Amino acid sequence: MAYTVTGSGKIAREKLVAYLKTGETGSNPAVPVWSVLGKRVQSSDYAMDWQEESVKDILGNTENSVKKPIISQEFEAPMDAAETAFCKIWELAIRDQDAQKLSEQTVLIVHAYTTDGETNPTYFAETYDGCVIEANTLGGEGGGDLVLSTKITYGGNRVTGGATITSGVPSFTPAS
Amino acid sequence: MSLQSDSPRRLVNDDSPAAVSRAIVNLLNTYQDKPDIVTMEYLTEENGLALSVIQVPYVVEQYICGGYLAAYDCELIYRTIPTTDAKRLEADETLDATVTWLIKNIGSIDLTGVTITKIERQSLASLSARYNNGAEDHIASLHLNYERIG
Repeated sequence: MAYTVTGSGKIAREKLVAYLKTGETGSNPAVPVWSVLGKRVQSSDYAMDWQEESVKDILGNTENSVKKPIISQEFEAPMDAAETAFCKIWELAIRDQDAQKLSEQTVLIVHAYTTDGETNPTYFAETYDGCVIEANTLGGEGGGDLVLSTKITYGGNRVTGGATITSGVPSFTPAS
Repeated sequence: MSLQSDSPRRLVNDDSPAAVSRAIVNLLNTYQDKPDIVTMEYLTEENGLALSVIQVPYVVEQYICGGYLAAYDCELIYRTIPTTDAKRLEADETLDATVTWLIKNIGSIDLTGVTITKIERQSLASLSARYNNGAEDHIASLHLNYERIG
């Protein structure tokens, strides 16, 4: 099914939401538990690096080429003990320094400004099961909050599909 | 996005300001030593103790998931008819004590979806206005921050 950008006018920033897989529930099959990334983050971009290359031939013509993008996103926010995603990042990066697990995390990105136009519409969504999470800094100003700054590079298998969000909880269905 | 001081302020346009005001009034009315029952922006011609919002709460920090941190500026107005300087000073002291109690107990406010993250006194109680009937308004101002997570 073809997803399109829906609505009219400008789109609110909160319509693009990233979730970190922080666990599983149930079995046969197990259902991922998705925890939102960015509750107190004021600015974060879904940055796409197309690895553009330019070559000029002997006739003076410029040939440009791009590759599939490397997508990354940075988050900087005060630590909150109730925020599951950043607490998991803290455990893997600060407590365990587990480089292997930090390079095989799963992230769901929901583009909640889109629709498939169906009767029970879903949003365009994508998962990456080999994301690298780097915790870059942990600190902040005296008297202020403890701030964790992270960078996630989305990687691994990319699966697209549809998602719904109910009471802040996403549900993802891969495209058939 | 952190709203810089030279950017237009984005006003809070949901029900959180009213919820915060109601919670503060309800909390203050549990304080036994206040000089009068606390109302919302209402005083009689001669007396009263009212919470008044100085300006519409505005967004200080906007979060990418839709939540925000808001600034809420208010004042407590104590109207009374003091007949002596001693009573005038007592009005300020009573109002300051009420504000001190509020600052100490603000953490007991439990609102769904809204968390008061900071409260600070902006001014000590002092005379603000005097009327022909001898009534005086003594005012202490406060600044609060509250958060709504989207």
